[in-house]
Amino acid sequence: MKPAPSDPPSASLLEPTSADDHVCWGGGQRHPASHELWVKDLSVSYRETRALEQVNLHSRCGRSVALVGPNGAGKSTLIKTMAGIVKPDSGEILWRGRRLDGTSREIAYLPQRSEVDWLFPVTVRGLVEMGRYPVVGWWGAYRRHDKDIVDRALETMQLTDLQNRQIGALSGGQQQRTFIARALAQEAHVLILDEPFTGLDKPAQEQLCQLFGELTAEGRLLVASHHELGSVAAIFDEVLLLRRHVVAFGPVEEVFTPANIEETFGTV
Amino acid sequence: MSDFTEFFHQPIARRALLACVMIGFGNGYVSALVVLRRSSLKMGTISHSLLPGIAVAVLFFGLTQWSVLGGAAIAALLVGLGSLFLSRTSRLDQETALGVLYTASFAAGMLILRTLGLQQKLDEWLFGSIVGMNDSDMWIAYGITFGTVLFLTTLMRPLLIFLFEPNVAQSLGVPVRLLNYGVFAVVILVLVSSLQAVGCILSVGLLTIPAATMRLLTNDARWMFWGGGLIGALGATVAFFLAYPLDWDISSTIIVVLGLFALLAYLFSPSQGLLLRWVRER
Repeated sequence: MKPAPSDPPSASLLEPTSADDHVCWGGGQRHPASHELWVKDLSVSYRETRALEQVNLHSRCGRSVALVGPNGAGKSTLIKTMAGIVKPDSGEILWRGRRLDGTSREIAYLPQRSEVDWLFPVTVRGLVEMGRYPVVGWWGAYRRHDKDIVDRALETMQLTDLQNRQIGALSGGQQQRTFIARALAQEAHVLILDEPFTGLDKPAQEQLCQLFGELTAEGRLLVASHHELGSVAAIFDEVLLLRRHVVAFGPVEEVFTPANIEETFGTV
Repeated sequence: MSDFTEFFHQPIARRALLACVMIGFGNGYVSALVVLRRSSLKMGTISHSLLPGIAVAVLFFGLTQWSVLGGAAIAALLVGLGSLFLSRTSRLDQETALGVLYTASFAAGMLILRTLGLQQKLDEWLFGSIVGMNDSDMWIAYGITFGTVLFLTTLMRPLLIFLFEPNVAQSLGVPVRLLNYGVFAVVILVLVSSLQAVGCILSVGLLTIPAATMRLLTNDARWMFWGGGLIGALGATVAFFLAYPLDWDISSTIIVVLGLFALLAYLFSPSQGLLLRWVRER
């Protein structure tokens, strides 16, 4: 038995007081500045080719980070390494102070839409339910609780009416929202997205941009590769300019400068 | 027809029927894997690589059930896993590596079997002889079907995530490596079990058509497994009852019947069928 708390919870438990000391989605409890993601000196190779060289990155929940760089700069590799799919040669990734070794339920990976087999026989709901796998495992039953979480994820992404539809019969924006709903069902704290805006029409892009705002406001951390330079400032808080190594990292208004962009994309 | 009744009363006929049902179900069930992975052509290459294994096993251990099946399994594993290994450790993709390995070993197998004077046996392995299965063949086929269905049913939930998108699966903590090799091993074992039934050329049909037919009828991946098994068993049974009275080759009859099922599903599927679309357009 836990002892009954002697003091009623203070108001600050429910209201964020600052960015460093806030309430965020998930646990529903205060955690003083502990939800931080650190990428430290990360190097990754494919066979003999070095894909990432000494990459460093530091952010925390409630923010969105754009990964920007030319083709072959290592954006997808960085995403897959953070998601635990690719093993780094050296360096480490820390989430909430703990070293990530492999995958974590708190980190969701959302693949590029073009990498997904949309003809696969699965419904929207079936795909979102995959997010419960870390909880239910091979044989565990889907409990009321799991069903509620899936329902809520579908509702949040405005997919309730489409839940029985085959995933191939969705528009690009709906497909992207289905994957986000899967991440919500996973109760992920960090969403790592590979080119989420690619191939979406203008209204869908705007809707996704708005969703990004809502997800970060809830305290989630979003990391996404992005190739449209014009919209980086409108969507993201921070940007990592990548060219196998980090060219610059920081708040968009500080580091997303013509000089840095030139250094990232220019021929040297 | 009385001829057939007579035939059916022989133990060999009932054994052949049982073999049809069992191998049809096992192969049909696993065909869902092949269809969902879009790897039916790859299966064709692997089924051909069974031959050299048999040849080498016969060369070293003589002609017995176990040497034939063991040799086939080892060859398929060597070529199958060898192509995975080759593609991971060189710049060749897996398809290319398979192309190199299977043609080279198939040709070598033909040479060895002809040199050993086993032309007739060679034909049986190429085209199958389900009526000629003996007790140990039956037990092997039974064991493989049972083990395969058990393995895939146990792992069905992670398996479907893995088949859908391996990277997503890995990020969710699905044992991707286990499934990658496990799925491969299961498919190869089932191929071996169908070796004597329909032969290494037609076994690809048995490992593709049942789930392809189900795909036309359902949007639920789980149903492709169980439905595929039922269609495989039904097709093989129907073929059994057609083949003897009509004096048709049973291996070919099984595949033709399954092909007809697929055609019927293509034309008359309640959700996808050509007929339905035609009616809607009018």
